[in-house]
Amino acid sequence: MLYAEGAITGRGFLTHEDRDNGVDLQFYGNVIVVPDGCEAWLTRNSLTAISKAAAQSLYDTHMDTAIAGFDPDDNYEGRPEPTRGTLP
Amino acid sequence: MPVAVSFGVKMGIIGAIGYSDCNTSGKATYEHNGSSWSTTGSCSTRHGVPAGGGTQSAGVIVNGNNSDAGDESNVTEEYNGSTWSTGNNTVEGSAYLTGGGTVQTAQLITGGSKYNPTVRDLSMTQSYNGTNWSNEGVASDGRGAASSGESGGGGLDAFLSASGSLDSPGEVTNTQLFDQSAGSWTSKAAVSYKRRYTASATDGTRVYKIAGAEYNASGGAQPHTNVVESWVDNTWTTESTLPAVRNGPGCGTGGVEATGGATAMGGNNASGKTTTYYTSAAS
Repeated sequence: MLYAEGAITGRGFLTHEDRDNGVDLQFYGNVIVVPDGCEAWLTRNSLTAISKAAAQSLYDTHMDTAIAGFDPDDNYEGRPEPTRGTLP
Repeated sequence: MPVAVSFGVKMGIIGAIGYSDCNTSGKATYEHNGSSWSTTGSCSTRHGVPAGGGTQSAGVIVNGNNSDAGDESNVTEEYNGSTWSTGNNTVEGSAYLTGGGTVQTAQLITGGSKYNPTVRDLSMTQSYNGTNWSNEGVASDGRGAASSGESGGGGLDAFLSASGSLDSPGEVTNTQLFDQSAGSWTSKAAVSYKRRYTASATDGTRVYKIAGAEYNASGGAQPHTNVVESWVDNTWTTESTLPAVRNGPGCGTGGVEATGGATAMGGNNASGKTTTYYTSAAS
């Protein structure tokens, strides 16, 4: 897997042709995950590959912020409680 | 404790239904050919209680709760019948919103919430032309998770938002009709049964409000329902009930149905997620 810090920026970020070419994009808060071999796709979107450990650290920090901002007494919409996760 | 919710969005015509289960437990998409389901390409982002619609070969899913980010999403994804690509982001992200549209290039969203910090009852009306999202500059009443759909062939000039919920007092019977040309929301006849997390369907004339849940102010379980109502000529009529109660059976409006038809799929019962699929002709 390849990891990069970033966000989905809109049309053209991931195209149907990209999908057909194996860019199976996954988006975890502030971390983009794509399969090995997608270096050209990262470059096209001005994303820089980082290590899995660095990506996991970024994601943990992002989710810790979400966890801190969650009100457990607010059950109005049944919003899932944020939890830390492990990147693939 | 909060109850995990998991809804999808449907798009298509009966006999060729797509159902995106981009929720708290998966990002899968399923297509129905009239007799069985098959799995197709997955979304990039989780969209819990999103909006969306379009057709089986040109669908769209937008916003919703992204449990991978612990927050609401502003991501748009488009479906071409086999894979999802990214569209331009919405003006404002939201979860538990109201909206959809029968074609990919004419979508409408409003209502719902933002988090961190929490803002309820978002009243911004946003429309999608197949490329960009725009703020229509006219506020709705902010109801989220409402039934919605187009009526009378008017597209976004006759887009109905019915029932759903506000931060206070919770579920309401309000109905509003959006007219894009006039740039206005107008109040219409109230529904008989206030619910949120309904399925929505439209045959281009009638708008269906199917099943859903009633808010429980005590924070406990939400009573589910099997009641179906339809709207036409500013009158609500009760239709045949679903065979079982369901919460969120295809939350988010779908594409246009076969004439006189409606569809509900998936959703939750008292035991959790279901895979049931119902179709019905109008009375």
